[in-house]
This record gives sequence, C-alpha cells and structure tokens, in this order.
Amino acid sequence: MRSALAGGKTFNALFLEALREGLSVMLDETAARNFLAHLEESVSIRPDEVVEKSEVISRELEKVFGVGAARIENVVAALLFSKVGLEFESKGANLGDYIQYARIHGSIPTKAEGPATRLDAIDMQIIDSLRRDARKPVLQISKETGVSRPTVTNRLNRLIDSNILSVNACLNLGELNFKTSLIALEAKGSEARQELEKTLSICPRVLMLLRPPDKANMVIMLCGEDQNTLSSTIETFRSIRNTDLVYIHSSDPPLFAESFCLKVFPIKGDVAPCGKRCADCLHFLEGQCVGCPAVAVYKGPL
Amino acid sequence: MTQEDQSKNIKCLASILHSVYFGTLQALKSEKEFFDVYGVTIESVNDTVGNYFKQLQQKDLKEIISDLEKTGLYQGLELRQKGDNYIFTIKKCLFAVGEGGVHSSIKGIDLPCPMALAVAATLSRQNPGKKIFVYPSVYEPEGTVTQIDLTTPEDYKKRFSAIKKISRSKK
Repeated sequence: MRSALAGGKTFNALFLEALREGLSVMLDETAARNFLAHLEESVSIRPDEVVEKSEVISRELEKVFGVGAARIENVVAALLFSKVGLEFESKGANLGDYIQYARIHGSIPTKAEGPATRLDAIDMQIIDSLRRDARKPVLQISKETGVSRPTVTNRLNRLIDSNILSVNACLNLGELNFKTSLIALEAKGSEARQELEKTLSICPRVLMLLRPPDKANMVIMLCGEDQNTLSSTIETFRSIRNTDLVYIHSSDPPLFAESFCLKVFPIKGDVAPCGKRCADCLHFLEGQCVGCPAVAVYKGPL
Repeated sequence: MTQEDQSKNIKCLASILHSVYFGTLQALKSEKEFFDVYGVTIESVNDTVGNYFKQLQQKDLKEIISDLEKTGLYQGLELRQKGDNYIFTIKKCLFAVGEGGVHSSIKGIDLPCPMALAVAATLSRQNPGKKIFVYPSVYEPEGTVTQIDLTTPEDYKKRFSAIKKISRSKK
C-alpha cells in the first residue's frame, strides 16, 4: 500500500471514503454508518485495514445485501477510481480486482494538488460575503458577487465538503462576560498526549488546542463563566496522569476574535463529557465552580 | 372466482402492498434507521404479508407470476432458482415510472420490493419447513431485482439476529 503523503491521504483512507460514500449513495448515511460499524465491531476490520481486508468486506456485503452487493461494489470501485484519477468502466470484475488496478495505475492526490484547496477570486468573493453575514441565502450571495446561484451553491458545497469552509454559530464571550485562560501542558510520551487530546477535545470549555513542538507540547485556550470556574477546570488538568502544567495566563475575553463555537448542550445529563459528575465535585458543592454546561446541575448561562 | 375477478384482485392487492410499503415502511425509515425497518420488513414475510395472498393458495409460483403479469402492472417478471436461492426480477413496474412513480425517489438499494415480498410469502407457504430470507432490493429506474433465500429456521434465526446486530451498530 502506498504510504501517507505529506498532508495527503493513504490509499486505504481513499478506499474507506469510497466505501462510505458508496454505501451512502446506494442506501443512506445511517445504513452506511451501521454497516461500517458492523465491520469494525463484528468482523474486527479496523478503518485502517479496509483495503487489505476487502475480500472479507465483499463477503459481508453479499451476506447482507445479496444480489445488491455487486451494485454497491461497482459504485465503490467507481468512486475509488475517481479519487485516484482513473476513468471507471464496469467490467464485471470483483472489488478486489478493481482495488488492485486502482492501486497500481492510480495516483494519490496530495492535499496541495486538489482543486478544492485552491481558492480563486470567486471562492474568496463568496467567503467574504458570508463572513459579513453567514445567514444570507445563496440568492443574496449570488446578487452581491455577480456569480450565478448554481455556481455559488456548488462552490459552497465544495468548500464545505473539503473542510475548508465551515459555517457555524459562534458565541460572543465578551457579551457573556466569560473569562479566558491560555495554559500550556507537557504530556509525557505519545500515549499521554493522545489521552490528553481525547479528554480536551470533548471538554466544552476548550476553545482551541495547539500542539507546539516544544517541551510544553500542548497549548490550550479555555473559557469559563468566571475566574473561579476557570481555575477549577484547570485544577482538574493537574490530575491527568503523565501530564504537567507548565504555565497559565489568565485574561478577560479576547480583544479579537470575540466569538467562538462553544459546545452547548440543550439536553443536559448527569455526567460531564469527561466522565466527571459535577454533583459530586467539591469545587461545585462549595460554589467555586458553576459546573459543566453539559450537566443538569450547571448554574451558568449556557 | 373467475380469471377476470382474480386478475382484478391481484391488481388490488398489488396496489395495497405498494401503499403499505411506500406509505408506512418508507415513512418509518425516515424515523428509524434502514436496518431497523429492514428487520421489520423481512420478519413480516413469514407472518403478515402471506395473508394478502391466501386466496392464491392453490396456485403455484409460475401461475401467480403469470397472473401478476396479466394485470398489466408488470412486465418481464422472472424468478430464477439456483438451489435454495431465488432471484426475482421485475423489468418494468407501473408503480416505478412516470409521474406517480416512486423509484426515482428511493435509493438504489432499499427495503425489499413489495412484489418480491409477495413472491417470498408464496415461497414460504409452499415450503412450510423452511424460512424465507429476503434481501434488500436493487431498485432500477423501471424495475427491481431481489434475492430471496430459502433457509432453515436455525440459519434464518442466525441471519435475522445478524441484521438486528447491524442495526444496533452505531459508531
């Protein structure tokens, strides 16, 4: 298998994408998700080994979809071919043969080569229009930019699908009177760093996560309803194993950017995403922390 | 019952099945997920759907398929058998095409075609010791292709619980 290219994808990742998209096209997204989860849970095929286990995948497709399996395989093969720059022609071959052909004759696009990563003047006009008001309809963007509606829609879809553009609801921390902190942590070893990343990625207070190649190999921007809550959150990071707190800088809300995509929880539970129960936490019980926005006992504005 | 009456009845039953299928199961699919509803559908082959065709008890599959074709709703009906596996093909279905056609609004592979369910129900009736396992249908612009397997109750149980397990797989 070709190795991962800098900033690009592996052949396996492209095949996984083709499989997911093929199942979504032929069935629907939930069915695709269910089937891929089934491959991982029941047949023990990890996402990083789908290419080498394509024969097993074919067997599973046939078990579940019978005569329809061949149609799914054809669509998956066609998608894979397009991803590696090949023209697909159905020759009644099996999925394994198509994969083999694509691996030998196709080329894996690097990130820099992909058309979606190159922003031209039209892309930038559309982005600039949305930057001023992300709620405006395509028709208005079309009027402002002088670009036709279908083109605006296509460009937007392409930019969003390729993760270059995201249109999100962000909250203004200044208006909410939130405080912020910049903290640096040193995770000792890759295992500790992975665990830390996992914990931080689900924490509603983490606004930004950087991985500098320094001793302090994790820099985090946090927000909190007040300084005590923020300090209490930071205290919990001290208990993460094989991780040292290197420095903390506390601040009022940022001068800019003012708004951030905070995780909000319209339906609150008993346990925070990190697994902690605020109702049992001393900081919360003593009124030093308003609690996690994900839990029912939370006392803050979110 | 005259041949004409029977043809009328089949036409009516086909319409009812399509209404049940597209009205209920497809709506259910938008609420629940594909494999959940698929489970409900294949379970019904061995129970409910068979009742629709009770009146045809004396007829064999060839006659039923021929009667279905005579209704004018379908063209190019074919049931190919290979051991315990059957492939049921409808080349052209009136419900699929045109303004009121539904195939353009459903996915390439979807819940089993209602006529395949009816054929499967007949197979079930004619093979009392066996169970019927119907796969999702392949929906072409004008017709469908569906695989139907005759299987032992033990194997059916295994396959059915595999579908249930997939419906619970949610990563």
